[in-house]
Amino acid sequence: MEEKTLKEGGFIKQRQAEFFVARIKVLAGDATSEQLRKLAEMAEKYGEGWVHLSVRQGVEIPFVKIENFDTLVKELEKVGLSMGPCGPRVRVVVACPGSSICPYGLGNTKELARKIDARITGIKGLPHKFKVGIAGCPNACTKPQENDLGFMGVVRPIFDEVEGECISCGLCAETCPTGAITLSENGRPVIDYSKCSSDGRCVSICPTRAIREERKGWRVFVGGKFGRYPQLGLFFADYLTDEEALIIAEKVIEAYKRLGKKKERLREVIESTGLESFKREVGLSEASS
Amino acid sequence: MKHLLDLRGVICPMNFVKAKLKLEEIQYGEELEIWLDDGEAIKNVPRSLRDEGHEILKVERGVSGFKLIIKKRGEINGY
Repeated sequence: MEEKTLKEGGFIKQRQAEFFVARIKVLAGDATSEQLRKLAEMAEKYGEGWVHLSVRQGVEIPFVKIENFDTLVKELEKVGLSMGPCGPRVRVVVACPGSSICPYGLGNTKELARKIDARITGIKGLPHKFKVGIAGCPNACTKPQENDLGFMGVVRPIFDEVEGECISCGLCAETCPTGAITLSENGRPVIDYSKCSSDGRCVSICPTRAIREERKGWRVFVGGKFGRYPQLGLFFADYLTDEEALIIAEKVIEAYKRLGKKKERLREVIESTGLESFKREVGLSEASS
Repeated sequence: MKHLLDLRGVICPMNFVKAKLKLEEIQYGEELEIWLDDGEAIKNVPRSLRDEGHEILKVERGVSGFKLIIKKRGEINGY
């Protein structure tokens, strides 16, 4: 078996020539207790009885011998686990718990992670690795701006009083972490959108719902990376639905495949084409962002 | 009758639980005054009471913490 084929299958060469690390995909970092038991069993049987938790929320079993690869893969399949991608491929989608658990979460990160994974994992012929990260809110715990493609849940608040709901309590202004809200002379909130971080705290705290969500969706970043020359992702689009996010993901990857040279990350492609022309390559008109 | 509940010094989520229990004791349409600490308490309790369907009539900053006036709402009699 060639090293390349091994990497494709999630087995990474170790310093110790006869051993490999088995990289197992754990989408969005969620594993069932049954899966964890199986991972523990596999680590005891085919590794050294311990695992490494990877930065992309996966589990790695070090010290696996080549003759055990097939059995390991089959055993993991029984509990719905598969090997994680290495090399020039779409890597495991990373996501925070989002609105399913976190009080700050604005977007359903787990669902988007599952949809994106189903849509783009396994796409062949990429110039280099391609990472997708999803955060449920602007706290950005999973650092979407560090990924080739990042999604962040955002809310655009609006003060929308129909019949005197606002009780001028000022909690919106007090709670806003960026100081984007001030109270006018009649005690009503005024939102400075240039300071608004779209975290929806004012919407969530307003005791009378006089501030509500005007728009809600995914903010998109492209071209983030780490490594030797770290770069934060560039703002690409705002308030997308899940379906629009999936289309963007597919189109960005198509453009990356079309324009990227071997070993180029998406950031380098965007830098040589320019962000505006890259938007056109993806089919994003100015109006949709 | 004026109902009063001092929840200063009570941590989340116990302050909300105590507010809920107190609201169970009073009639629909009646008002309850709650005193809350600044910080986590004021960020969470009014919102949780709002989500339970009650009406927040007033939030005022006091010497220490906040004073809240809540009207008990529910499905009964259209309150």
